[in-house]
Parts: sequence; C-alpha cells; structure tokens
Amino acid sequence: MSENKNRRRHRKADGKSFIILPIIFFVGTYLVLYFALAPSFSALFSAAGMLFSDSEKDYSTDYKNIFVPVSDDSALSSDVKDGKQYIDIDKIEYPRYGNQFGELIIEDCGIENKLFFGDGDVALRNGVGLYSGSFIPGYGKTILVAGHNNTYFNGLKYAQEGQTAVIRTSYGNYEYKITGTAVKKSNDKTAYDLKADNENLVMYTCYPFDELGLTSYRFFVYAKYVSGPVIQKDSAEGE
Amino acid sequence: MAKKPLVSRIRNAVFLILSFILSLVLFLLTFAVVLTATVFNSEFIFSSMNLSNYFVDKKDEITVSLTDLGYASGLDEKFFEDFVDEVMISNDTKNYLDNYFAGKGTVIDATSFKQSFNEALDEYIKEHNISNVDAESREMLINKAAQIYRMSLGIPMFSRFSSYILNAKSFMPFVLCGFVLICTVICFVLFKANKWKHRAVKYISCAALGAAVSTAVLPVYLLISGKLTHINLASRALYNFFIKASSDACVAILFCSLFLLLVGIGLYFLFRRMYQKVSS
Repeated sequence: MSENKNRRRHRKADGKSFIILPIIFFVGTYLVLYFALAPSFSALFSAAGMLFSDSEKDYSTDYKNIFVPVSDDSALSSDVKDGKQYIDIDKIEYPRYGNQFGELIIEDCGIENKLFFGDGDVALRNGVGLYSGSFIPGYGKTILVAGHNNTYFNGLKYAQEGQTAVIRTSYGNYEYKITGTAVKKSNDKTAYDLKADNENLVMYTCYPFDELGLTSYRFFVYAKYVSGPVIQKDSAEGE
Repeated sequence: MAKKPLVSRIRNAVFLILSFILSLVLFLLTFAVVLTATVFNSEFIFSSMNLSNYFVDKKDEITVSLTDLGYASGLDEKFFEDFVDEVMISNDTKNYLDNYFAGKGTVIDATSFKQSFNEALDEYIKEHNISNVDAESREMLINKAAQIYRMSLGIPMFSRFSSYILNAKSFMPFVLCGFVLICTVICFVLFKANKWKHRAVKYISCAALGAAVSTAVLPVYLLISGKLTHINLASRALYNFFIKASSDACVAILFCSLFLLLVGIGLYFLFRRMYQKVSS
C-alpha cells in the first residue's frame, strides 16, 4: 500500500518537474544573457534607438501643403509701427521639412513656383526649396532658396538688378528687390551670409544654364527686403 | 519521509546545473545555426531579395533618383525611364554579396553601369543635336549617376557592421562545433554518472524543453509586437527586404524551437516508459 503511494508521489513530482525545470531554465538563460550583456546595454539601446522609430516609416513621396494665400492687407499682423506690419511668431504655422509653405514669383523672369521648406529631392522635384539652415521670410535674416536650372529656376537666367521677387506665405506677402547676380563656385563660402542681421533673399541654381551635365558653378541672385510683415520673436523668446 | 543523503543531494544539484548548461548551450546553438543559415548566408539574402520584390522596388528608386539628377543636369525624364533594369541590379547585387562574404570589401562595381550611361548619353546628345557639352560637366554627371547607383545598391548595415559580421562568420563553424561538443559531453556525463538512465533522460528532456521556451520567446515577441516594422530605413526596397528576411529568420528560430519541443516531449515519453520498466 505504502509502496503504491510512494510511486504515485514520485510520478506526480516527476510530472511537475517537466514543467517547473524548463521554466527555471528559461528564466536562468535570460538572467545569464542579462548579466553577460549588461555592460553593453547602453550601446545596444542607443543603436536600437537609431535603427527603430516609434511608428512605421512613411515612404510616400507626397508633400504637405500648408500654404493658404492671403491678400496683402489681410496678413495676420497684430501691430503697425513706423509703417511696418508686425506679426507674433505664435500666430504663424512654422513649416516642417518638406512642407510647401509659400510661392516664389519673379514676373520678369517668368518664375512662379511652389516654395518648400527644405531643399530635398521632393521639394526640388516640385518647385524650389528654402535651405532649412536659413530663415523663413519675415524673420529678418537670410533666406536661401535653391532650384534646378533646367526646371523651376531656369528663368533665373533673366534676372536683373531692379526686378521684383515676391514670396507669398500664409502669414503675409513679401517683396524683395534684386540687387545683383553672381557666378561662384559651389563651395564658395562667401557667396552668402547666413548670419546676416538684415533680411535678404538669395536664390541660386547650377550654372551655366541649358547645358548638359553637372557643374561646380552656381548662379546667385541677391535681393533685399522691401516689404512684408516682420515676425516678432520677443513674445516667444520672453516666455 | 526519509531525508536524502547529502551526497545524493549534491549529485542532484550538479545534474541540475549540467542540465541548465545544456539548455543554455542548446539556446545559443539554435541562434548560431539560424545566424549561419540567414545573416551569414548570401544565398538566403539573395532569395529574400527576390521574394520581397527588392529588385523591382530598387529599380524604381534608382530611376527616381536618376530622374532628379536629370532635372539638375538637363536630361529628359524619358532618358531614365528604362535605363536601369532588374537584371543589371540583380547581377551587381549578387556580385556585391559574393564579394562581401568573400571578405573582398563592400565596394559595388558600377563599371557596366558607367559604360551603359556613357553610351546612352552619346546617343541622347546625337538625337537632340546638343552642341554645348563640357567634358568636365559630362564626367561629373556620369560619376554622380554612378555614385547614386552604388549608394542605392549598398546595404547600409553591411558596411557599418562589416568587420563584426565577417569576423563572426569566420568563427561560426568553430562556435557551432564547440556547442555541439559541449552538448555531447554533457549528455555523455549525465548518462554515465546516473545509475538509473531514466534520470539522465529526464535531465536532457528538461534541458530541451527549457531551450524550446527560451528560443521561442524572442521571435514570438518580435512577430507579435510588430517592432520589426518600425525599422528606420531610407529605402522602401531595403525595408521590404529587411521585413521579409527578419520574419523568415524568426520563423526559422520558431521551427528550431518546435524541434526542441518535440525532442523534449519525446524524451519525456521515453522517460516514462523507462521509469515504468524500472519501477515494475
């Protein structure tokens, strides 16, 4: 009787061990891995952080258009001082990289193009692009715009001093007067000054025009600010 | 209930530790086998590319990039419409993978691409009667196009982790042999040291079941959570290829896990039969 009891107890215990032991081994395996990899966790996590994002990547080549044309007198300006319109930075929708946020028009050159924030492939495929390291119109600094010379900026070849360039955005319309043109090497750092304290527009494209091939020369068109609402940064900076 | 003698308890503890080591080695062996069959295998990578439509997607991507180059250099969109084809991409990718795994570096040979581009350019110039072509500008265009082609075909993770992958690949046969040897030695010790052989079978069965659970957890987590789909790759073709290859690798690990599970269950039944024999 007691022998039978003993056998049943053994069988029961053995049956359990086939479940408990594998679970203990599983936990043990991951603990060993944890302690073995612990010194390189930060490197592994930072590598994973670079490789993986929170959501699936969007591969569409569509762009977002945030440009809504406004008439000259209906800008979002809050103030008028010394004949200049002012606008709070909080009131404007700052464009994200790849957004179409305006239009660039030089009537004398036959240019009327979509203006994008950023000068990536999608932007230059559909219009002209503002270099994201430069500034948006109204900011009081340098606006650097690029375009292909065989497509949207082909008309720049007709640019001359005194002509007017207009940038239309959702927060106001800006006017610039062309002050000159120049041909410079693509790596010439003196071609523009991104740290300038006055608002100025620099447009550039490859040079020479209508030639087959790639060149290391760029055609620059310089223009100075004439009119358009000035973005007031003080309210945001003071916060 | 009588207490077991100390020697017997120590023996049991030693067998348990050996069983755990066996489980751990089986776990590592599974990953080593799957790595050898997938990441370190150019055939697997190439077939995953084929199955994920890699070459068709790549052709579209390269055509778009070259068309953008055309906008900057005065070439028509039509020039690039059928300029690159899947066969050219497939051949160059195959050479790239073969050279890479042979340790000849990550350089992609774009010689044939450059030649075709040069010939097509000559024809284009003749067709359109273009006279103002500067030799230097033309050379820059060809080099830029070849650079775009090379950059598009390269697999970024391969060049970044090149030394690790190649070192790991060269060590892998020794690692596999080492793991198999450790498993054999542990099984041998368990059988030799146990008077009652069914106990050895029990330890091995538990090790196999433990390894099965351990190996299954990671791929199940990756497949269910969808983490793999959040990888940040600039190229859609590369993204589809990565998802296909990594999912296949996860499924391969799950198959190994299933195999270990079946071995574990088989050994459990063997144990029961042996135990019944002993106790009768």
